[in-house]
Amino acid sequence: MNCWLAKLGLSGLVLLAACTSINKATFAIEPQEPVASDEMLRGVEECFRTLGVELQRKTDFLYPETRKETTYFLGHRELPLALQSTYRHAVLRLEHSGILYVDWVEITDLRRELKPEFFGPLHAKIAAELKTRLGIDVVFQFIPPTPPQEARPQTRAAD
Amino acid sequence: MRPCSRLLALAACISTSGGLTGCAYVEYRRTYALSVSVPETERAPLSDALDHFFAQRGLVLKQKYRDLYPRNVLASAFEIPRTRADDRRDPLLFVTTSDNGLVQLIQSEWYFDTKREPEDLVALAKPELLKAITATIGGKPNLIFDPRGAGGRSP
Repeated sequence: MNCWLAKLGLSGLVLLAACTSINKATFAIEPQEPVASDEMLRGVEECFRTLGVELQRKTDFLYPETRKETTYFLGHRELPLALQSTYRHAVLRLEHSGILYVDWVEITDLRRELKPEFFGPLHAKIAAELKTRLGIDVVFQFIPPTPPQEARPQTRAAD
Repeated sequence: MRPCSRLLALAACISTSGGLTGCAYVEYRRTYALSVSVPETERAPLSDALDHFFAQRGLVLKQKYRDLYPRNVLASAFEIPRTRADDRRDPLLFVTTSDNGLVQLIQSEWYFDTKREPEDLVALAKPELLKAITATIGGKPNLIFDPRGAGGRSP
Protein backbone atom coordinates (compact mmCIF):
# COMPACT_ATOMS: atom_id res chain seq x y z
CA MET A 1 0.00 0.00 0.00
CA ASN A 2 2.75 2.37 1.05
CA CYS A 3 4.60 1.47 -2.11
CA TRP A 4 1.54 2.35 -4.23
CA LEU A 5 1.04 5.63 -2.42
CA ALA A 6 4.68 6.47 -2.99
CA LYS A 7 4.33 5.55 -6.67
CA LEU A 8 1.21 7.71 -6.98
CA GLY A 9 2.94 10.61 -5.28
CA LEU A 10 5.94 10.28 -7.51
CA SER A 11 3.71 9.99 -10.57
CA GLY A 12 2.05 13.24 -9.61
CA LEU A 13 5.45 14.81 -9.20
CA VAL A 14 6.53 13.61 -12.61
CA LEU A 15 3.27 14.81 -14.16
CA LEU A 16 3.81 18.22 -12.60
CA ALA A 17 7.37 18.27 -13.80
CA ALA A 18 6.34 17.15 -17.28
CA CYS A 19 3.82 19.98 -17.70
CA THR A 20 4.92 22.64 -20.11
CA SER A 21 5.27 26.05 -18.54
CA ILE A 22 5.25 29.36 -20.31
CA ASN A 23 7.36 31.76 -18.32
CA LYS A 24 6.95 35.31 -19.48
CA ALA A 25 8.16 38.79 -18.62
CA THR A 26 6.31 41.66 -20.28
CA PHE A 27 7.52 45.23 -20.68
CA ALA A 28 5.81 48.23 -22.24
CA ILE A 29 8.23 50.17 -24.42
CA GLU A 30 7.35 53.75 -23.58
CA PRO A 31 8.72 56.55 -25.75
CA GLN A 32 9.57 59.68 -23.81
CA GLU A 33 8.60 61.91 -26.74
CA PRO A 34 5.58 61.62 -29.05
CA VAL A 35 6.20 59.14 -31.86
CA ALA A 36 3.86 57.17 -34.13
CA SER A 37 3.36 53.65 -32.78
CA ASP A 38 4.05 52.05 -36.18
CA GLU A 39 7.32 53.94 -36.36
CA MET A 40 8.22 52.67 -32.89
CA LEU A 41 7.47 49.11 -33.94
CA ARG A 42 9.57 49.46 -37.08
CA GLY A 43 12.40 50.98 -35.04
CA VAL A 44 12.43 48.13 -32.50
CA GLU A 45 12.17 45.54 -35.30
CA GLU A 46 15.25 47.15 -36.88
CA CYS A 47 17.05 46.91 -33.51
CA PHE A 48 16.28 43.20 -33.32
CA ARG A 49 17.52 42.76 -36.86
CA THR A 50 20.74 44.57 -35.98
CA LEU A 51 21.14 42.34 -32.94
CA GLY A 52 21.00 39.36 -35.28
CA VAL A 53 17.83 37.87 -33.80
CA GLU A 54 16.01 35.37 -36.01
CA LEU A 55 12.59 36.56 -37.21
CA GLN A 56 10.11 33.72 -36.89
CA ARG A 57 6.73 35.18 -37.64
CA LYS A 58 5.00 38.45 -38.37
CA THR A 59 1.24 38.75 -38.13
CA ASP A 60 -1.39 41.47 -38.38
CA PHE A 61 -4.46 40.55 -36.36
CA LEU A 62 -7.64 41.98 -37.84
CA TYR A 63 -10.38 40.62 -35.57
CA PRO A 64 -11.59 40.85 -32.79
CA GLU A 65 -9.05 43.65 -32.31
CA THR A 66 -6.33 45.01 -34.51
CA ARG A 67 -2.92 44.07 -33.22
CA LYS A 68 0.50 43.53 -34.76
CA GLU A 69 2.80 40.80 -33.57
CA THR A 70 6.38 40.03 -34.52
CA THR A 71 7.88 36.87 -33.07
CA TYR A 72 11.59 36.16 -32.80
CA PHE A 73 13.30 32.89 -31.98
CA LEU A 74 16.05 33.39 -29.43
CA GLY A 75 17.27 29.86 -28.89
CA HIS A 76 16.79 26.32 -27.63
CA ARG A 77 18.58 24.64 -24.77
CA GLU A 78 18.33 21.01 -23.73
CA LEU A 79 19.66 19.35 -20.62
CA PRO A 80 21.30 15.90 -20.88
CA LEU A 81 18.86 12.94 -21.25
CA ALA A 82 16.29 15.42 -22.55
CA LEU A 83 15.06 15.88 -18.99
CA GLN A 84 14.41 19.53 -19.57
CA SER A 85 14.27 21.65 -22.69
CA THR A 86 13.76 25.36 -23.05
CA TYR A 87 12.70 27.39 -26.07
CA ARG A 88 13.10 31.14 -25.83
CA HIS A 89 11.20 33.70 -27.87
CA ALA A 90 10.62 37.42 -27.95
CA VAL A 91 7.31 38.84 -29.11
CA LEU A 92 6.82 42.46 -30.09
CA ARG A 93 3.17 43.34 -29.67
CA LEU A 94 1.66 46.57 -30.93
CA GLU A 95 -1.76 46.61 -29.31
CA HIS A 96 -4.91 48.37 -30.51
CA SER A 97 -4.24 50.99 -27.80
CA GLY A 98 -1.04 51.99 -29.61
CA ILE A 99 1.19 50.70 -26.81
CA LEU A 100 4.13 48.58 -27.88
CA TYR A 101 5.03 45.65 -25.63
CA VAL A 102 7.82 43.15 -25.64
CA ASP A 103 7.23 39.70 -24.16
CA TRP A 104 10.30 37.68 -23.24
CA VAL A 105 8.97 34.14 -23.34
CA GLU A 106 10.41 30.85 -22.17
CA ILE A 107 8.61 27.60 -23.04
CA THR A 108 10.04 25.01 -20.71
CA ASP A 109 9.36 22.22 -18.22
CA LEU A 110 9.93 24.29 -15.12
CA ARG A 111 7.77 27.15 -13.97
CA ARG A 112 9.85 30.06 -12.79
CA GLU A 113 9.58 33.77 -12.44
CA LEU A 114 11.60 35.76 -14.94
CA LYS A 115 13.26 38.56 -13.04
CA PRO A 116 12.77 41.97 -14.73
CA GLU A 117 16.29 43.09 -13.84
CA PHE A 118 17.71 40.20 -15.89
CA PHE A 119 16.64 42.02 -19.08
CA GLY A 120 18.19 45.35 -18.05
CA PRO A 121 21.39 45.13 -20.15
CA LEU A 122 19.47 44.01 -23.25
CA HIS A 123 16.93 46.80 -22.81
CA ALA A 124 19.76 49.31 -22.44
CA LYS A 125 21.23 48.08 -25.72
CA ILE A 126 17.86 48.39 -27.52
CA ALA A 127 17.24 51.83 -25.99
CA ALA A 128 20.66 53.06 -27.16
CA GLU A 129 19.99 51.72 -30.67
CA LEU A 130 16.58 53.45 -30.74
CA LYS A 131 18.14 56.70 -29.63
CA THR A 132 20.58 56.50 -32.53
CA ARG A 133 17.97 55.38 -35.04
CA LEU A 134 14.90 57.43 -34.14
CA GLY A 135 16.43 60.00 -31.83
CA ILE A 136 14.06 59.17 -29.01
CA ASP A 137 14.50 57.96 -25.46
CA VAL A 138 12.49 54.94 -24.36
CA VAL A 139 11.75 53.37 -21.01
CA PHE A 140 11.02 49.67 -20.54
CA GLN A 141 8.19 49.51 -18.03
CA PHE A 142 7.74 46.08 -16.41
CA ILE A 143 4.13 44.85 -16.50
CA PRO A 144 3.50 42.50 -13.57
CA PRO A 145 1.80 39.24 -14.62
CA THR A 146 -1.96 38.98 -14.21
CA PRO A 147 -3.44 35.99 -12.32
CA PRO A 148 -3.80 32.93 -14.60
CA GLN A 149 -7.02 32.71 -16.58
CA GLU A 150 -8.97 29.70 -17.72
CA ALA A 151 -7.29 28.00 -20.68
CA ARG A 152 -8.66 29.13 -24.01
CA PRO A 153 -8.53 27.24 -27.30
CA GLN A 154 -5.50 27.95 -29.42
CA THR A 155 -6.93 29.69 -32.42
CA ARG A 156 -3.82 30.64 -34.26
CA ALA A 157 -2.78 28.50 -37.16
CA ALA A 158 0.75 27.24 -36.74
CA ASP A 159 3.27 25.95 -39.21
CA MET B 1 19.26 7.77 -3.23
CA ARG B 2 22.06 7.06 -5.70
CA PRO B 3 21.83 8.64 -9.19
CA CYS B 4 21.06 5.34 -10.95
CA SER B 5 18.31 4.54 -8.43
CA ARG B 6 16.89 8.00 -9.06
CA LEU B 7 16.82 7.36 -12.77
CA LEU B 8 15.11 4.01 -12.26
CA ALA B 9 12.51 5.62 -9.98
CA LEU B 10 11.95 8.32 -12.58
CA ALA B 11 11.46 5.74 -15.33
CA ALA B 12 8.99 3.83 -13.13
CA CYS B 13 7.10 7.03 -12.41
CA ILE B 14 6.90 7.96 -16.07
CA SER B 15 5.53 4.56 -17.01
CA THR B 16 3.03 4.61 -14.12
CA SER B 17 1.86 8.14 -14.87
CA GLY B 18 1.52 7.24 -18.55
CA GLY B 19 -0.75 4.40 -17.61
CA LEU B 20 -2.76 6.56 -15.25
CA THR B 21 -3.38 9.44 -17.62
CA GLY B 22 -3.55 7.67 -20.99
CA CYS B 23 -4.21 9.59 -24.20
CA ALA B 24 -7.93 9.27 -24.80
CA TYR B 25 -8.52 12.29 -27.01
CA VAL B 26 -7.70 11.90 -30.67
CA GLU B 27 -7.65 14.56 -33.33
CA TYR B 28 -10.24 14.66 -36.05
CA ARG B 29 -8.77 16.58 -38.93
CA ARG B 30 -10.04 17.16 -42.45
CA THR B 31 -8.51 19.46 -45.01
CA TYR B 32 -10.18 20.59 -48.20
CA ALA B 33 -8.59 22.71 -50.89
CA LEU B 34 -10.27 24.80 -53.55
CA SER B 35 -9.51 23.38 -56.98
CA VAL B 36 -8.71 26.78 -58.46
CA SER B 37 -6.12 29.37 -57.52
CA VAL B 38 -7.87 32.54 -56.40
CA PRO B 39 -6.55 35.76 -58.02
CA GLU B 40 -5.09 38.31 -55.61
CA THR B 41 -7.90 40.84 -56.10
CA GLU B 42 -10.55 38.26 -55.19
CA ARG B 43 -8.90 36.82 -52.06
CA ALA B 44 -10.22 39.36 -49.56
CA PRO B 45 -13.81 39.33 -50.97
CA LEU B 46 -13.79 35.50 -50.95
CA SER B 47 -12.51 35.44 -47.37
CA ASP B 48 -15.28 37.84 -46.32
CA ALA B 49 -17.88 35.73 -48.16
CA LEU B 50 -16.68 32.58 -46.38
CA ASP B 51 -16.67 34.37 -43.00
CA HIS B 52 -20.29 35.35 -43.67
CA PHE B 53 -21.19 31.85 -44.83
CA PHE B 54 -19.89 30.09 -41.72
CA ALA B 55 -21.19 32.78 -39.33
CA GLN B 56 -24.67 32.22 -40.79
CA ARG B 57 -24.30 28.52 -39.98
CA GLY B 58 -23.63 29.22 -36.31
CA LEU B 59 -19.85 29.11 -36.27
CA VAL B 60 -18.20 31.83 -34.21
CA LEU B 61 -15.39 33.84 -35.73
CA LYS B 62 -12.74 33.90 -33.02
CA GLN B 63 -9.87 35.44 -34.88
CA LYS B 64 -8.97 36.83 -38.27
CA TYR B 65 -5.39 37.63 -39.11
CA ARG B 66 -2.89 38.04 -41.87
CA ASP B 67 0.47 36.39 -41.58
CA LEU B 68 3.10 38.49 -43.34
CA TYR B 69 6.14 36.34 -42.64
CA PRO B 70 7.30 33.65 -43.43
CA ARG B 71 4.37 33.55 -45.86
CA ASN B 72 1.54 35.87 -46.70
CA VAL B 73 -1.59 34.05 -45.52
CA LEU B 74 -5.01 35.40 -44.67
CA ALA B 75 -6.71 33.22 -42.05
CA SER B 76 -10.04 33.07 -40.26
CA ALA B 77 -10.42 30.83 -37.20
CA PHE B 78 -13.93 29.75 -36.25
CA GLU B 79 -15.07 27.93 -33.16
CA ILE B 80 -17.46 25.10 -33.97
CA PRO B 81 -20.29 25.14 -31.41
CA ARG B 82 -20.30 21.88 -29.44
CA THR B 83 -22.29 20.73 -26.45
CA ARG B 84 -20.92 19.38 -23.19
CA ALA B 85 -22.21 15.95 -24.22
CA ASP B 86 -20.17 16.13 -27.43
CA ASP B 87 -17.08 16.34 -25.22
CA ARG B 88 -14.76 17.95 -27.77
CA ARG B 89 -11.54 19.85 -27.28
CA ASP B 90 -10.67 22.86 -29.41
CA PRO B 91 -13.30 22.37 -32.15
CA LEU B 92 -12.07 24.78 -34.80
CA LEU B 93 -12.43 25.46 -38.48
CA PHE B 94 -9.69 27.41 -40.25
CA VAL B 95 -10.15 29.08 -43.61
CA THR B 96 -6.82 30.10 -45.08
CA THR B 97 -5.85 31.86 -48.29
CA SER B 98 -2.16 31.60 -49.14
CA ASP B 99 -0.04 33.94 -51.22
CA ASN B 100 -0.21 31.47 -54.12
CA GLY B 101 -4.01 31.73 -54.19
CA LEU B 102 -4.61 28.37 -52.51
CA VAL B 103 -7.72 28.33 -50.32
CA GLN B 104 -7.94 25.65 -47.65
CA LEU B 105 -10.63 24.72 -45.18
CA ILE B 106 -9.30 22.80 -42.21
CA GLN B 107 -11.49 21.26 -39.55
CA SER B 108 -9.64 20.24 -36.42
CA GLU B 109 -11.08 19.04 -33.13
CA TRP B 110 -10.20 16.52 -30.45
CA TYR B 111 -12.78 13.91 -29.48
CA PHE B 112 -12.82 11.11 -26.97
CA ASP B 113 -11.87 7.98 -28.86
CA THR B 114 -14.74 5.90 -27.43
CA LYS B 115 -17.31 8.44 -28.64
CA ARG B 116 -18.77 9.13 -32.06
CA GLU B 117 -16.40 10.73 -34.58
CA PRO B 118 -17.26 14.37 -35.43
CA GLU B 119 -19.11 14.98 -38.68
CA ASP B 120 -17.28 16.43 -41.66
CA LEU B 121 -18.56 20.03 -41.69
CA VAL B 122 -17.20 20.92 -45.11
CA ALA B 123 -18.59 17.79 -46.77
CA LEU B 124 -22.01 18.49 -45.24
CA ALA B 125 -22.10 22.09 -46.44
CA LYS B 126 -20.32 21.50 -49.75
CA PRO B 127 -23.17 22.30 -52.22
CA GLU B 128 -24.08 25.61 -50.51
CA LEU B 129 -20.43 26.39 -49.91
CA LEU B 130 -19.60 26.01 -53.60
CA LYS B 131 -22.56 28.23 -54.48
CA ALA B 132 -21.21 30.95 -52.15
CA ILE B 133 -17.71 30.60 -53.62
CA THR B 134 -18.96 30.68 -57.21
CA ALA B 135 -21.04 33.77 -56.47
CA THR B 136 -17.83 35.56 -55.45
CA ILE B 137 -15.14 34.33 -57.81
CA GLY B 138 -17.19 32.82 -60.68
CA GLY B 139 -16.06 29.81 -62.74
CA LYS B 140 -16.62 26.21 -61.71
CA PRO B 141 -14.60 25.70 -58.54
CA ASN B 142 -14.62 22.47 -56.62
CA LEU B 143 -13.56 21.52 -53.10
CA ILE B 144 -11.16 18.62 -53.03
CA PHE B 145 -10.36 16.54 -49.96
CA ASP B 146 -6.66 16.75 -49.26
CA PRO B 147 -5.58 13.79 -47.11
CA ARG B 148 -2.14 15.29 -46.47
CA GLY B 149 -3.34 18.82 -45.85
CA ALA B 150 -0.17 20.10 -47.42
CA GLY B 151 0.48 22.76 -50.02
CA GLY B 152 -0.54 25.77 -48.00
CA ARG B 153 -0.40 26.54 -44.36
CA SER B 154 -2.23 24.33 -41.93
CA PRO B 155 -2.96 24.73 -38.26
